Amino acid sequence: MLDRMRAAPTDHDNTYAYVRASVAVRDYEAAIAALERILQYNPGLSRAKYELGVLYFRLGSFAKAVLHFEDAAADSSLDPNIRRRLDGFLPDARKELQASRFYGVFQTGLRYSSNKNATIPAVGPVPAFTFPLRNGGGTSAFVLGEISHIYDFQNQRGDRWETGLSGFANHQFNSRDINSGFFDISTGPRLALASDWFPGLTIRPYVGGGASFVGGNSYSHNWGGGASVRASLTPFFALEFGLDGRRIDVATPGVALSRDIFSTGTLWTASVGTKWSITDSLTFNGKAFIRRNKAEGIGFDSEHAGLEASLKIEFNPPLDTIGFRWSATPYLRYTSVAFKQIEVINTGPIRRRDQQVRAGLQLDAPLTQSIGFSGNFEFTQNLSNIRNYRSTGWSIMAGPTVRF
Amino acid sequence: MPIWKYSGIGSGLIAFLMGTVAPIHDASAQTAGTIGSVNNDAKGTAPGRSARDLAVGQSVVQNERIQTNANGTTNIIFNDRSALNVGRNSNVVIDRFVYDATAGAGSMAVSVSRGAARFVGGQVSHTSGAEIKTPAASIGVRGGNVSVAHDVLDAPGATIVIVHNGVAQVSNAFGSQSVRSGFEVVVPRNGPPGTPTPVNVNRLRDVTRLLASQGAQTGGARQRPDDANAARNAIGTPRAPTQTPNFDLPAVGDDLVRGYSRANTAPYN
Repeated sequence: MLDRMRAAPTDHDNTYAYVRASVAVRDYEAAIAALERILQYNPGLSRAKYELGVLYFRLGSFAKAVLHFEDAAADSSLDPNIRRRLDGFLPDARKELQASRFYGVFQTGLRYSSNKNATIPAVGPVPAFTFPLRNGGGTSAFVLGEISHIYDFQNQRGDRWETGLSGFANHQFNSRDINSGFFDISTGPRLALASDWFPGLTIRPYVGGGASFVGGNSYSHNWGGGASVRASLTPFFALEFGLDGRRIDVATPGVALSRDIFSTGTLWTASVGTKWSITDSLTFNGKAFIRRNKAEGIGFDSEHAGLEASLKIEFNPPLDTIGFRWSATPYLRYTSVAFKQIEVINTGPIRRRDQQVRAGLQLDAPLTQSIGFSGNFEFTQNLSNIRNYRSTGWSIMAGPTVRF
Repeated sequence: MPIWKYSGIGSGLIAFLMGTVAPIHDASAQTAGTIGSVNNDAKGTAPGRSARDLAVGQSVVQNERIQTNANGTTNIIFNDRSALNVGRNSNVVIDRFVYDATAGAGSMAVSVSRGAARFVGGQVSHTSGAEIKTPAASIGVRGGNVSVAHDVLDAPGATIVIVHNGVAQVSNAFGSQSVRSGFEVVVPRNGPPGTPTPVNVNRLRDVTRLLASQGAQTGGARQRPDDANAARNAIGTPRAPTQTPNFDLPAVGDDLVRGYSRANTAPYN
């Protein structure tokens, strides 16, 4: 196709075919070179300007993206549907040019769980509520949100400071004693390890902590830190190795303590994860981890291991008037928990072992730059060698989203 | 970007292959590229030949000099899928372009003694790298896409280097700077490269204007492409991606997604 294009550079259909083929294999530079030539033939071609903005955006060249988007937007005859799509890119491209930038997302809505005790599935680096005990079904209202901040030091190594704060609150309509909530914060720099010969190799030491609440009372809190090393082997494939150490305090007194899989003490987690952008619209995330909870209470030490995978599938929305892609993300998580000792009061003479499987589907449907809708369905099964801890349940949650 | 694309190992291996295993035949006779667009006046002077008016579809050879006047611009398509846009009032020489399509490697060097040029990388710049020289600086391009302007705009006698993506090593006798994507640097003729700063969008717009067709210019095309034709060819269809990985819904917000959210706070990095 390149040969044909060189033989007949002004065969526009062939050049566009070359652009499409280059984009399909994510050779964005080749597509850019061809489209910039098309603009030499007609500098007023707003569709080509928009497409160039998208290509530069995908390359992370945000100044060029802004330039092309603004040029396209200045054309009063620009197709209204393209203008809506442009409105999806331009604010984000402008934001990426700032050294200090915030990202936020919030959702509120309703959630039904066939097992009220699973008011919140395991959340955060330290799962806050992991009661496997059975209970009846119940509906709740929830609100959740996350704010992230990046400060780019603007050095040539690409170092920056990353902070994230997230929170969740759940109001149970018929069992207020299990109203629940949590927040979690993490902050630390991301530093290049070898910017000259391996720009994609970074380390992020961080400190963080969080707390959770049940029935209006403190349930647990934790603090600690860790580090993750990320190796972006290609623009589309990254590996990440992490080590996290926490001090956790679980407030629930007495025998209830053992019902959770975490107990007051220390928590160490080692993990390896991967993010693989298989195509422009298909992204795989995977992670394996091992974790050890060294508990202060006798009989509560536990060892955990898990595997997680998700596949994000992006697709065009049903209406041309929506400028954003939607996504569906099926996911699967398997976790095994083995207590180290016999804990006579709750489990009798048996050393407890749990295996939890969680499978679900996340739907995300942005409608405008800031407003959208999201929903989630999840099936959970907890297998345990202690009958009381066996449970099966499902949940569904949905509601509008706000992003900035 | 793969490690080997950035490492000395890759370029060393390619140099070895080029030098001993797959020698490239007489480089001076090799067609370097093809004129993809041209607004006159733009002239090309091949070694040992007289100057000619450039036209779409003509070949460009190694060591050919490209000169444009105040109305002239041109675009060269290279064999490795890279491209060079030459702006108005510019004087550029294709010092070296060798490319072995079988090995997918080669080398490239361009001199910009005056004016503006923009290089969009291809196979060569992603393997052994490409080099752009000006009277003030030598710019090594590893992957990516750079704009270079010398002795124009608000920098008389100096070179402006804007890195759109990839990494550029900008050096001269007085010093050296590594410049990452989204940054620019100004290099005076008799001093070290300045400190890289984030791309100034207004300056970028000025440099881009030097490189672009203006008004009724057609870049040498008999038939201008139009938006209807672009629409038929599915140009302008992509939508903005969703940012779910940064969206920690509780159900997927445990170790899996949160791990990435924490490690990858920005959605586009």
